[in-house]
Amino acid sequence: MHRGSRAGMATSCNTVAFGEYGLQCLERAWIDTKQIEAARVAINRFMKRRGKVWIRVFPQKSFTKKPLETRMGKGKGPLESWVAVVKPATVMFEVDGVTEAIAREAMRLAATKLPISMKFISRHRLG
Amino acid sequence: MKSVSLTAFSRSVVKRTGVKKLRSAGRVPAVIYGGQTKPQNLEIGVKDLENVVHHSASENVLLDLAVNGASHLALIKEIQHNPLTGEMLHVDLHAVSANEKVTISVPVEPTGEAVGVKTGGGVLEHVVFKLKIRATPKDLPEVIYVDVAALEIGKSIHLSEITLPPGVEALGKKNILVFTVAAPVTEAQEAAAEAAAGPAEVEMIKEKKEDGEAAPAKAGDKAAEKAPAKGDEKKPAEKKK
Repeated sequence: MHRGSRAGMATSCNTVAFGEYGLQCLERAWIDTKQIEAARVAINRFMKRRGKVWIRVFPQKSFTKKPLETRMGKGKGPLESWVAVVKPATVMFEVDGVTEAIAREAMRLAATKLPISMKFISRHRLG
Repeated sequence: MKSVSLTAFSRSVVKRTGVKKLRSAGRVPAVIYGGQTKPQNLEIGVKDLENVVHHSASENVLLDLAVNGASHLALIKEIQHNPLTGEMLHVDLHAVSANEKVTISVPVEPTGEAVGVKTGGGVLEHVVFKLKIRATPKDLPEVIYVDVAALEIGKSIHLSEITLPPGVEALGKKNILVFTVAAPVTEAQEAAAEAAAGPAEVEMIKEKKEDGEAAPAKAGDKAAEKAPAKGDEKKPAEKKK
């Protein structure tokens, strides 16, 4: 199967566009639906219905996998899952309507659910 | 807007390799254009530029630029940053005349805590982050502050309700929503949203084996695979004979 290119840095989705604070990727990866959902739940649980959350990535790439203990051949394997391709600088989540301390902790919890290192960023970062 | 003095030097290197060397030497490539001046490539000390930008409320800064003895009044039009490190990569400067009106985008910031947020538990939604305005360079504000203290849940502030400094004219439609206070999300609403937002189960296309058939197939996997193959091979051979 064609796995696509993950080279370079993100040229879009690389700034805080909707909220006040964001969570930015520092590495490249395939982030699957379960990881995105786990991170979203972690943010919402910590923020306790305060503020607003944006998810800036969508798992639009599917991938297939051969079942275990199967011989090669006999056609393509079945659909395994859906993933979002993220590159360094992609802003995955944004929040607004909460203090910086709350946003920072919520993003820290979300980052623990993801397989790559992340960075907390603010809209007001200058220079 | 008060002008800040800054020194720049004319630049001859334009290619990628040269510009990279320039950056590593602590200079930022820049360009100045507009007004009566011809476009000119410049380089600015990164420390000087950071000092100017960090001491202003936004990246809209009016510069009194000294280039090889000549003086220019210029606005910072755009600063390109590295999206990961925030390092300045390039600066666009717009040469302006002190008496001519210019159009720029200025950030809008809320001041005070909205009543709807303080007492009602609502969320202040910042819809428009930058406003396009027109004014002479000396009248340009760095940031437009809007008092949102009186905003209750469900109430909004539109562009027409924002008081601008004297000499400043807002461009665009007057009914644009700038700030609003949304009602707090109830537990029931959150549960419904979570149910809707949850990932839909991916439809797995897998071969389903019935319980009775699966066990013997597993035990004699190799035999089961080889048996029909052998049979197939033999049949055409027999026909040949």
